[in-house]
Amino acid sequence: MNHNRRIGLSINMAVVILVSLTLPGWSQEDVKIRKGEFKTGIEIGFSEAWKSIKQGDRYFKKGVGTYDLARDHYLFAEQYNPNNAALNYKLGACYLFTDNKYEAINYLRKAYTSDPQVSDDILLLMARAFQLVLEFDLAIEYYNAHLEALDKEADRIAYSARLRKYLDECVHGKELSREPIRVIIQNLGEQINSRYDEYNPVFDTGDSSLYFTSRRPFEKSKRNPADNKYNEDIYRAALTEGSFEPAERLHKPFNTKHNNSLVGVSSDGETLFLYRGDIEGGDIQISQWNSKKGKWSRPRGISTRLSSRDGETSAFLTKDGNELYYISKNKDLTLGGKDILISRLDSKGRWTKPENLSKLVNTEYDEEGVFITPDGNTLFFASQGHNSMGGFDIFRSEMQPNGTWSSPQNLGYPINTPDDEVFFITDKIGQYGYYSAIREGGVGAKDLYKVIYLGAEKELVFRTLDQLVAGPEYPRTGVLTVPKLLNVDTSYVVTGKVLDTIVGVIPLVGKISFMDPNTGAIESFVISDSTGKYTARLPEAKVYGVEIHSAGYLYFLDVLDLSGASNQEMIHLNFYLRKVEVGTKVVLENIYFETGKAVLRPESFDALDQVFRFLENNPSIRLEISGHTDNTGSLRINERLSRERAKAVVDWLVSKGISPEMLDYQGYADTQPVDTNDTAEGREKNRRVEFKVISK
Amino acid sequence: MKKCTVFLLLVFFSIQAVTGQLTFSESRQRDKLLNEGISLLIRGEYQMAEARFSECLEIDSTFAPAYFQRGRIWLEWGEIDEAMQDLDTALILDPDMGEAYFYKGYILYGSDSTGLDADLFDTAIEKGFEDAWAYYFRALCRVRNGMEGMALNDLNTAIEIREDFALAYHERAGIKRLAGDLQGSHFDYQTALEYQPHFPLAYNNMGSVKMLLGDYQGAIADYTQAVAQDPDLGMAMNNRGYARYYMGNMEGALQDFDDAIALGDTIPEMIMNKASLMAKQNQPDLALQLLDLMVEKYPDEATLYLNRGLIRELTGDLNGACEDWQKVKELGSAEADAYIKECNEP
Repeated sequence: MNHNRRIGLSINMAVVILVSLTLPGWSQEDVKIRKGEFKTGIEIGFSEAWKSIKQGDRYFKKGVGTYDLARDHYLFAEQYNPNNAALNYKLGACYLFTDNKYEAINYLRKAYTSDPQVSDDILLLMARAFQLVLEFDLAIEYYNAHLEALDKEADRIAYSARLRKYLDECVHGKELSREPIRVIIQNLGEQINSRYDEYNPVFDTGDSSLYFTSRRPFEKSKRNPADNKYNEDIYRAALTEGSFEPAERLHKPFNTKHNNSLVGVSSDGETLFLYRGDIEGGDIQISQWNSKKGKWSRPRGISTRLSSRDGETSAFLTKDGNELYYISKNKDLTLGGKDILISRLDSKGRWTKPENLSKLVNTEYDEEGVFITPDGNTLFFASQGHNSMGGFDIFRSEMQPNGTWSSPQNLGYPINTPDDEVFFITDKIGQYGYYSAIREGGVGAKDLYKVIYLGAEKELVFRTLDQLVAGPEYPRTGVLTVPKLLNVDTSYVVTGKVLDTIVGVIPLVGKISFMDPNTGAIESFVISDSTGKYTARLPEAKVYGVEIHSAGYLYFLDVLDLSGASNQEMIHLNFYLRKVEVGTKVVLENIYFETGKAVLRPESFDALDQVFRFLENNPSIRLEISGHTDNTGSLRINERLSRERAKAVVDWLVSKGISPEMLDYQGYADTQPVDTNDTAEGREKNRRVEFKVISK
Repeated sequence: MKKCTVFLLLVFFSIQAVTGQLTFSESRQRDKLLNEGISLLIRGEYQMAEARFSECLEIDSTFAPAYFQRGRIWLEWGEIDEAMQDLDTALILDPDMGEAYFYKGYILYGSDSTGLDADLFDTAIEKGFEDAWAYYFRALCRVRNGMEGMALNDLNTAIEIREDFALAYHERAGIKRLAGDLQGSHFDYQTALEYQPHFPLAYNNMGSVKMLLGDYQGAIADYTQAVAQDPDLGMAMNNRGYARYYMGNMEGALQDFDDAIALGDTIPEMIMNKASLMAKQNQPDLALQLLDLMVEKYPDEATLYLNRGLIRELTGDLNGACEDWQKVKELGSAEADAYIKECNEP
């Protein structure tokens, strides 16, 4: 059965809505649900279910406008037997022709799985469903499968053009959906939309009211037998501070018992373009405002030149009122289906013979819903041709410098979808677009939507939080550096004077050396100043050997014991030196020889160094080094030994660099004792080496 | 008043110097007390150390080192005024005491004294206190004054002096990051962490460098480590949320943003991030509610307006979006300039 032919051509948008499914030549299969196949082994519930099947079938046969009713009955029957292929097929078809394409796919798949032969067009319907949910690859697969499944060559030839169209739409759809346009498409809400169809939005001149066409029932409205939908009526909704007031139906003469649409408003707002569906396949009429009478004139035909028997559906008058663009099915002027025609107002105020607007704009398929922006530079219209991704898509074309319209561009996805989009307009400043579409989540089948362009893609902002400077931990009270000990002087300070021993007040300049008594190493030395004053700093509180040399004076040797001393106090110590006089004798302490020999033992060298330093400090002096023994042993041996020992000392001093002229040596044996030889201690003292100053 | 005090102190100390000549034993005693005090200070026995220094000053009230060391103890105790007083006195008595300038600067750093602390570190270094800390703090002052190049030099010097100076590596990493040397920055953070493994802030900041390098997985690991070391480090949680968002883990991201916010330091960026995520998850209305609250609380935060504008745009509120972007411009940011252009186009 050919649903399309039953609809006829007197309905404006009904054809538009279903044209994607009801292109001439294609027929919806009326698949029979057989009782024997439907009935399961269970008796309970069968008769109610079967009744529903019958009721559903009645509505299904009527087709457009009643598929929702058929669906509801079939759904009831499905509860009894969810696995009947024919039932599932019909449910799939109902969903496909109403709202939920995903459910359509589910049911059609189920039907096909149960029985691939359930209907000749099941693959086609599945392809349509996939196309409508943007599954283009699957849609292409099923379209091709459908084509291959057609047995008859005649059918293949008949349908190939149409299927080629669908396949092209899928290709376009893939391209367009790959790069969606950044828009928000907002349903205008329940102030405007109802569960019935709304379309054809038209703003008044100040954008303060929106006119639109609705197929909602009013009072005693009846359904139009052509499509089972209520007739078209004109509604108006005021726009106040960006929100629409609840829409109101216009009264006569605008709304009649037939289909009525407002399809255009002149820029001065004083001429309304109306569609009447009951006149010659649909006609455009005008009504003009009579300011004297304060009312609108009765609508009348715009011009016989512009009307045709084939029908006109919508119109748009340019702002200057000189050009009328309108949609016509005039076979003499169109390229196929409905096209945009143009007529101009001549100097006599008459409309010129209409022309086809452009072969670039119009196609062999239907065009509908023309709108031109107030600046006259942009043309919006709906077309099933060009690169539509299915049904009617919205296109735009720009006025070129040579006065022609450019090649139309698809507005893109998601403004356009594989379903129908028609009657695109903008507000007077072009900020927003408004159009009619079937979209998921709509209030009714076809709703009015607002298009908000969002501009270029923008990244939402995310921020990391960092603290690039750590700094030492708070609170900042701690110290950061390790304190260093002061370099304090902890030495033991010895101070005093070097003086002449006889007088006691003559200061002497002398070198005072403090030595380690064990090693003889000099640990510190100072030189007394002209006042005889010296200050020495000794590192430790221990025993030091003290040696003092001053020119003209005998050297001084002593021991300084600082054990137990405090470095908090200065230690005061004066030294008194003996002047060198001729004849002065000094016993050299700590001179040791090997027993019975004149070989100096190394422990003698420190003492000899002192003599050496004395001679260095007193270069003009001459000394006699003499050896002495006690009275034990022979005199001769003692004389020789004492002499040799004296000589050994002289040799040592000379070897150190002392001039031999400064030295003389003698051996006195026991002839010059200094103590008694009767005691061991006395004999020890007598065994000595001494020097005598013989000249200075 | 301060000049008068300084003058009087100078007079006093001069008189002291002339009339109060120390004996040998007094000077010895003073020095001994100082060193004892320092040893106690090193051991953390501050009370006894302070007593030594005070005793030292009873013997010699012109002894600058004692004032200095006592000042350090005041600082340790958080007695800033007393610390400053002693440091000032030390410097009157010994204007070449570099370390005293350093500690003065250290005390002043972090307060609002603009430049004074930087000058003090300059002086400290000039006077010979070439400690790594002196260069470190001078670097921080220079960063604050926009002299990143010179700050970098100082940090380099600080590191030369002390090669395990984790903080210096950390700050240098920050400067390198600002200069765009992300690899260098990352390396320095790593080095800081080698020397100081417990350093949650370094992990956080290193994670952010990884984010800039596109290593989101690595960033997450670093942020996780930061949080493990410091569970109250909200910024690390926030940042991990951001990284998780990039990795597509929306649930984890939201959890992190929530946890960061729950810590109590409601920083605008955290809320903004959460709002962005919500908008991405098709909850723009909730996102806007959040941002509305934050804008009330932080009316001068340009980023909030920027993002709210973007989310308003997503909901189709173009007028609201344009208003917000205009506000961004009014607040001195150019981030929304491109968007404002769109507002002005038909």
